[in-house]
Amino acid sequence: MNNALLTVQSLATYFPVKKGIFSRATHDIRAVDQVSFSIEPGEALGLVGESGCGKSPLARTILMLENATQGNMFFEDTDLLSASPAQLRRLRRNMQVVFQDPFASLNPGMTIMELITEGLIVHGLIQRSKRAEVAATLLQEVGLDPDMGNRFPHEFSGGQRQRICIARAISTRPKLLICDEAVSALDVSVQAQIMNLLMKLRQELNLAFLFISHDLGVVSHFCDRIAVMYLGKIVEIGSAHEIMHNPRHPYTKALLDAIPKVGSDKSERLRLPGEIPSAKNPPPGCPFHPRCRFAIDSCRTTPPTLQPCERNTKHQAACHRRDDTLQ
Amino acid sequence: MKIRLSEPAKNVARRFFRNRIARVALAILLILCISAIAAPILSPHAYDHQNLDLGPVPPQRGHWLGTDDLGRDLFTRVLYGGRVSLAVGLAATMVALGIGVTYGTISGYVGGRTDQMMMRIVDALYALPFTVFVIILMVVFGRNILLLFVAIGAVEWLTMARIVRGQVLSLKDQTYIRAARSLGFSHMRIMLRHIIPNMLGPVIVYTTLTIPRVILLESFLSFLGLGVQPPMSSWGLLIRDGARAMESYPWFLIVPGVTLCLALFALNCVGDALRDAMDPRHQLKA
Repeated sequence: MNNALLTVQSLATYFPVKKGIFSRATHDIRAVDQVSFSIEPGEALGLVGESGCGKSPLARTILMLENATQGNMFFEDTDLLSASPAQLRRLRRNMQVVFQDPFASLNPGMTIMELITEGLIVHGLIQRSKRAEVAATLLQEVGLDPDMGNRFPHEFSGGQRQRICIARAISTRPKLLICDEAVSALDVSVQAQIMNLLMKLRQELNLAFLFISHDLGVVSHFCDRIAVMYLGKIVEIGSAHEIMHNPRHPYTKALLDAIPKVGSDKSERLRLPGEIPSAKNPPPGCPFHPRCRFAIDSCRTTPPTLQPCERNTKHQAACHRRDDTLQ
Repeated sequence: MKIRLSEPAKNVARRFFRNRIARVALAILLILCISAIAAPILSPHAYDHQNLDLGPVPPQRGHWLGTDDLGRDLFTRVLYGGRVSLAVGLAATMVALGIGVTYGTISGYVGGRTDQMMMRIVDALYALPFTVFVIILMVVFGRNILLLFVAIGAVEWLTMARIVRGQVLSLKDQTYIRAARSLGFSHMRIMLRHIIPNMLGPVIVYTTLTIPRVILLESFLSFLGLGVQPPMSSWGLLIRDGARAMESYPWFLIVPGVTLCLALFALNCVGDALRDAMDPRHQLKA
């Protein structure tokens, strides 16, 4: 076994579409389709893609909140999909999550102290009597007033709540933190503060990240590697620098061109015509070909797989024309 | 650092007692309960002592809430009737609450096929005529007041289970439930700590609405001869008798009617205040 922290192999999550009174599944929505990647300890992998491309279902599948349809997942050496419930429960403290909506992620009936220490108590990591003390330390760690433990979530602003969510997520000292659009719901100045906090924690705790966002700017700033998702599949993966400066997949290029730049000529942008196709009924061949300006005949028939770009195995793209110069 | 939240119950109590209406309502309920329990001490008359020579008299010295047509002291009868009504109201509601919340939570939380099965059972029981059900119970187990609690509770929990299931369905997809699952909490813990406390509002409101209905249901059963038997009485029975003699002897109706209204009003206030006290968001408006 390699020394990766999280290994995902050909993972797929399908949601059955039910119809009729007898709830017969007629077909599937392929939310996550044949996704493979790995995250090394301490590494931050960014996951980008437009809405509805399957980023969140992928995160939920990794967190075992959704049942994987097929594939394999390993956390260190443990097979997540065949682990016993008890094993899984112990494992969960190593893999934590911060969700997008800080207003819905905190139980409104519990105090901040109860919220952020519940995991520690359930996993038997601290004594109940040490609760207040530990809560104060955790609050300090995420930049909140340590005396706020007795307050309730509704007394806090969005940014503060997100800090509380982060405090809860890091309370069990996980090795991997999954941020599912963790800063998207916050306004820009607060976003920057939360990103700085995550960076600080990443260094202090040697956390690995799966950082999901639709904002390439934030992701490139924070992550070592970036994976681009389209219609449930990873279409390009590589180091943040490669993806930002030498994108090989036309979809990645379009995403990058969509970032507004000062003084740029709008006509030079690569625009995407049309909508993201329905995952119920994905197009044959390359799922991106109906929107792709560079599509050739083989794109319409043969689905491309992730292949190294310019012989660089660390930069892979699922495109037949990945090594062509496309303008 | 002051720890006030390790004891959430204490907190709820503090918020509850800060509400003046809640204090008054709770006092009224307590007075009614205590006087019902202490009925033999409080009243100089026996509830079944008839005084046919006296007949129905309006409130006066010696019978300060008047007497009924058999000359029985109305105050005494209201006190004794309260024993039955309050006991049935509370006990049957507790039965309904216990079964309904457990059943509804499990059904909603587990979901899928289990949920479908459990709810079809509820539908089937709904279709069962209540009176027939009670009569069967009485015939099989004989008539006794405990059975009355069970019979009413066994019918009232159905609606409670439906309400609870609906609440659980909307709560279980909340992000904080996902967060709790990804923290590795057991299903039991998630249900007890994260789902049930957050749906108490509607449940408490429904509970306070159930108690009056149960009290009236008891009087209906007694009317059919399936509940309390004369000379024992309950508020529901007294009101029914009073309604018949309303035109000639209005105090027959007024005395138990006002008592029942007072009890129900106090119950509703207490339920309302309890719901507010359990929701920490109300703290700001206090």
